[in-house]
Amino acid sequence: MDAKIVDSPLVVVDEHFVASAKAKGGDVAVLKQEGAQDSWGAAKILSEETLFSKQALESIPWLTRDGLRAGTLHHGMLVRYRAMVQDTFDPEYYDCVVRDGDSGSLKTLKYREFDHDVASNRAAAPSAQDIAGLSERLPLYCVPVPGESAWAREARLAAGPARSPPKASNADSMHPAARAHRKRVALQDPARDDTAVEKRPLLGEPETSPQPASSTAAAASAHKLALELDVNNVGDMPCIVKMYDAAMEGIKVSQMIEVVGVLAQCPDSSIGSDAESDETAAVADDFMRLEIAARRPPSSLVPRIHCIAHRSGPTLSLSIDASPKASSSESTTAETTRVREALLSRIATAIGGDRLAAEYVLLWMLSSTVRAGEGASARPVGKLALALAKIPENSTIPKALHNVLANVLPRSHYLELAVADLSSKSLFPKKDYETNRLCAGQLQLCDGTPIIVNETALQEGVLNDQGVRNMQALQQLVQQQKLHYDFQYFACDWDVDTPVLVATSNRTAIVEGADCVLALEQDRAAPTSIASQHGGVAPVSDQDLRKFVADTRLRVAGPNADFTVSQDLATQIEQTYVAARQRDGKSVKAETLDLWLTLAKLWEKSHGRDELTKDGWKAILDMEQARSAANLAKK
Amino acid sequence: MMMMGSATAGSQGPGDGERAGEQDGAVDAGRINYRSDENLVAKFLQEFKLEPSPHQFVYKYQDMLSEIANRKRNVLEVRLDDMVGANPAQDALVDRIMRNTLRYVDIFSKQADKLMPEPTDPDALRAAAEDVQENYINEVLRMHRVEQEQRNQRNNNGGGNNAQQQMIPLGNAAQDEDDDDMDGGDGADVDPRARLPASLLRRYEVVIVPPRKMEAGSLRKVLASEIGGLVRIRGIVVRVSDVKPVVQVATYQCDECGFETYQEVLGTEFMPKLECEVPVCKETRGSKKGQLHLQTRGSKFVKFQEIKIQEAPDQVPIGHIPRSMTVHAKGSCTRQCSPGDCVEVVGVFLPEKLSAFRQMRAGLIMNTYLDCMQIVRHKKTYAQLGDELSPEMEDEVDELADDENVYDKLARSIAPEIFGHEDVKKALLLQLVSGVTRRMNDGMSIRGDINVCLVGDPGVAKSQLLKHIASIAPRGVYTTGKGSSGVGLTAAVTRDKTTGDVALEGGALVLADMGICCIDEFDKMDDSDRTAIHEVMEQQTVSIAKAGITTTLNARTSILAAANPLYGRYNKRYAPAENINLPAALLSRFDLLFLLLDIPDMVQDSALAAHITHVHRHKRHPELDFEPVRPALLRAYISQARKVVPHVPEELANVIVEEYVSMRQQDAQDAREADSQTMLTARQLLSILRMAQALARLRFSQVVSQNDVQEAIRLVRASKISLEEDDGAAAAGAGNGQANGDLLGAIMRGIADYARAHRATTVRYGDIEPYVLAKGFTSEHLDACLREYEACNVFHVSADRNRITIVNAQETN
Repeated sequence: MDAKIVDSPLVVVDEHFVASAKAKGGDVAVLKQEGAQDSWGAAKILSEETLFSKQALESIPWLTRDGLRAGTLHHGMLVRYRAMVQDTFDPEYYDCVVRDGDSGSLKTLKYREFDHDVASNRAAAPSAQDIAGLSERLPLYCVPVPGESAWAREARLAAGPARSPPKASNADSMHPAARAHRKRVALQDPARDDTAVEKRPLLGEPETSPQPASSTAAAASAHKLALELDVNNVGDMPCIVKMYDAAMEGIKVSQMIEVVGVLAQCPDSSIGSDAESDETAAVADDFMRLEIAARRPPSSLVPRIHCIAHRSGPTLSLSIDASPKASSSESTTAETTRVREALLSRIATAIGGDRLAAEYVLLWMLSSTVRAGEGASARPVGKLALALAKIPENSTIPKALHNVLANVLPRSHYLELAVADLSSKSLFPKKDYETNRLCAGQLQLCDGTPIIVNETALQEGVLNDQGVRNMQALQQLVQQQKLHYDFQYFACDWDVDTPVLVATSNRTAIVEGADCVLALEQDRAAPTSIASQHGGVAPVSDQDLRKFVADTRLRVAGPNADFTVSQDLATQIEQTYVAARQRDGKSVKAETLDLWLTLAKLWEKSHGRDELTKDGWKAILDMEQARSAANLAKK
Repeated sequence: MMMMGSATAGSQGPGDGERAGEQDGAVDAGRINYRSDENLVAKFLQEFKLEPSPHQFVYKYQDMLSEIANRKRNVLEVRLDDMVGANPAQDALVDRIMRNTLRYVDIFSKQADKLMPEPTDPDALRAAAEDVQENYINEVLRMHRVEQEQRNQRNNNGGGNNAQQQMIPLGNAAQDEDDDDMDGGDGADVDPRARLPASLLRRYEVVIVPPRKMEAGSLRKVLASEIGGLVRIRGIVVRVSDVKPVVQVATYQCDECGFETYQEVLGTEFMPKLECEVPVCKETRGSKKGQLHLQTRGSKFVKFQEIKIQEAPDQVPIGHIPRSMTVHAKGSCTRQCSPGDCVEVVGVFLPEKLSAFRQMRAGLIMNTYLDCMQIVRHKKTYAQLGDELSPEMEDEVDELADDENVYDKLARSIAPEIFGHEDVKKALLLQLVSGVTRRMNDGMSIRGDINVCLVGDPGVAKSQLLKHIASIAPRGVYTTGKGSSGVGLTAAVTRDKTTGDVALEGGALVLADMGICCIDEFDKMDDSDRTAIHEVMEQQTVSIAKAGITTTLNARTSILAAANPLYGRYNKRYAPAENINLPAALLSRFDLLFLLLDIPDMVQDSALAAHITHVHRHKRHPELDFEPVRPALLRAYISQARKVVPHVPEELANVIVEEYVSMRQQDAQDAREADSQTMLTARQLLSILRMAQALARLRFSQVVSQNDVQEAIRLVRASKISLEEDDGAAAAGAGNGQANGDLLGAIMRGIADYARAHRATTVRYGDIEPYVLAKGFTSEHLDACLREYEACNVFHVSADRNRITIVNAQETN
């Protein structure tokens, strides 16, 4: 990719616009339409294929806090950004075609935040031509991918362009206005440095003061509104990504997207910094002020990206960025089994040597939920909510398990429940109409992010209303894989795909909804039929484990995922189920068969097969038998 | 809206709308001739008439104007429906009005001013005399007249049009510059009133209502191309601001020369004038200009409220955040709605004008808002809006009603993914339709709501059924008995955060008024809620006595409850009340009580297994052997059926009475034998009537038929059997598994009993069928029984299957 284009992509857009404007004789309507089609032809050069090509990957830098601070990233250049869409704002109207104040020639502000000349010559009331040239774009509030593992981030950055040493004078690269702003900020409030931002705990402060006591308190809290940072990911920052034209449609909240776009750092676009708050309060009345402050945070903290191309979907969320050094050898079955064994051992070690439980955990972390049917009768298929019971109170096992998983999964979330936290903050996203923002909750995660819920530290106590709602939301997530979004006047329960593992000492309401409960035991061996020769396992690198997990997850939930069960085996399965019902109608239910089939599929997939085999089916039945025996014994 | 810079103030007429209009005009038809449009508007206002009865005309808008003149009305509501279709010119005008509304509001106002008759009503005149602002203005006008005369003598030049208009001695205010050829610019013989901004004198506002055929759209559809145009959108109000006065015309007085200066304010911001610019003042005082002081008495203020509306949930694609929009409401549109209301807003979509200073920081982004013309608040909540049916839907409902098996079909369409439970589903269908509530003359009412309770082992899809019903019911609320939020089931007194006012917040039962309240985990309810339930189920009200508020709220709701047995599993040796840990008094208020058990069954299980395996293999549901009625249609059908009010014909009433008496005797006898208490009470009689009515409603029939009664009795029996008898029959009663042997035997014994009772060895099929059905079996069971026992040579069935002879009746006896 041409370094010039990366450095100033808008030159390309402008050139095409000028050429087009000349050809069309300045017809605003036609120009607007052409802009929506292909940015006056600039889309040919800045196309999705080129921007996501391997070559572009190596030349377009990632947006990172370090990059901004070091000055390698500057206003108006192309950057790459991967994030979760946390909230969608209302569309905003920008000058797609506008007459320049001084020269009178037409220009476009597409992919631009601000234009000094246009702004200074703009009359108070927009003229008819101004209005005719308006077009809309959709700002998305994006946050760094929640729960992104450190290694995944490293791999992502390593795949990008080599991080060059900071330029000698980084201030020069900044927008003049941005520079002025930064100086001003630095002078006024030394504490409001970027480091101060990083120290903010995840969702530490309530995102909005429930009732703004005074206008000053409200103005102060306005700042926090902008900063929904994920502490796992201090190197990246939240961003407002502005989508244009066709890309405005189809992007859902909580989706993971990767965008390539124009970085805009324009302090003038932000309202609500402390210095301006008094004056803002004077002109805008209370009704809109909080909203404006929340929606237009300072761009030094929340940069803007004007999206030129984006991608999303399971391929993005499940695959991992291969670092250039990684070997891409095709894995054989033997190799797969070997790596699987190694992963199993690691999990078993983390949970105290329980091989059976380790097997379940392995299958759990690979699971993914899809929906059969539509609308109200849609039912989740492939859901595997696992509960590990009888873990000693305040045990380190859940944390250790998470460490192992975080080392192989590109994303994972660890949630420790405590009565005080449950009662004080919302785990699920909630709309705040004061600021017109969707306030994030810890459960708002991208699809394919497994969650470990640690209940072992949960003490006895009284839950308030919020606490009860949180528990209900958790329960719903476990039972139906649906996340509750609270819009106050109505609620939405949206399908998600975030497998949940509950680690518990005493069973709670959440555990009751789990598909599969297993009491943990020290040094338990797996049933012989599934226990393979794990004696002499050669050491396996992290790299291989990650590749194994990513490949298997793609195999389970990727776009080409497929799984076949022969008719013979299907009949056999049905018979097994009916026989089991006859034996024990009380504990074997429809859900049991669901679970068996889910486990069997994951078992086969984790062995690199796309078909159910007789051995696989038998292995699952053995595992299940061992599980129910263990649970009975524990009771 | 716009910021009034002192240099541009007043020279822009209706602001952006006008300019946008010019642009539109330039695009399609050259320059729009506003002069001719003005004439069209004037003509319309004068000549539009309605003909309520032949040869009797009502001049709608003229009448409206005289009402305004007489202070009986303050809104001139122009319905574009009235304009459409009269002639092509007028249709084209409607088009232009829709695209550039504010400009035409101005034209309408001006024409209305001209056509305004003198007040005739003495009350209005008196009111005018007492109006402070009016008096002030009149006083000013008198002064101006004197001044004018003096000045006219001095200086007889006309047309000060291009000077600043808001100054009385020179301009003629509120005239637009682009059509300044009217009314003459000659200051000499102009009515002094015209020199004041017209809006200062107007006591009415013009509201333009778009044609009815313009449907209320979604916020999502309102885009840049709609700017300046009239839109109608539907949404939910999420926030409202306080109502504040906003200045429309600011009046200043000069402390030196005493002249008034007027400033028309079109937006939310304006720059106050500071220095007197009247030439007289300038002349006499030279460089030292007079200072202006704002005269609140002479200024015009209107009520102003900001409202935030958000898309209704059904307009939002799944997984997307609802969009929102700011609405500016003025005058009569204020205080029309509160947060949570479902509204339809008609307004003009406009860009917000920002001061240059704010614009710099807003980054050239246009903020937009909706200038509200009309707010229609739906009395119903969001959940009820679906009740109005589209014509296509009505056709579908009619088509469905013609189907003979509509009862079965609808029942099976309730939660089609849940296997079996056919009788339960039928009962739920009847509950959705409900019986007829009768209100007696003495104020007593007999409830028509059918209450159903489902008791069963955990994991038999009780909750799923409940949730499904809540989603189909016209006003369904799902809640759980335990762990419900602070408001709980009844109502809570809350304190408003901002105002500190005490307000009542309805709980689930109140919200489900005229609908169905689905209460899961009924047995785990709070004691306080439990007492409330008693009241709700009998009186259908909720009484509140909290925080100084004592009131009674309506809760005319059917209750669908689900409960778990007390000891985990239902024990048939105990009475239902003991099993469910609820007082018998409460349980008896349920019309139907079903026991759902999860019993292993080969056929059922393998069908289920095949289903699940299929889903896992193909990631979709297998094709059902019937086409379930989709929920929207089901809902529509139910809402239509609920409108029917069937009655019980006289002859049937006698039959029911006889039936009831014999059933009660039979029951008492059975009870003696079985050593248990009598189950059949007068309550059951009412239940049967209610269900029979619901069945008639399902057929859209005004008359309850005998079959309806039979089916109702059968359902009551089925629910009893599910509680009383052994597993096999219980399952059969609840439509669960079928232990066929026992079942057929029971039917056989039943037939034999019937024959013995009638002292006959041969019974007619037609007689035996209702008898068997009343015991909770189905005709299929009966047929199966006849086949089975015919093979065993117990029965002999005639060739036309009409007469059944019991072969060795003596033996059976």
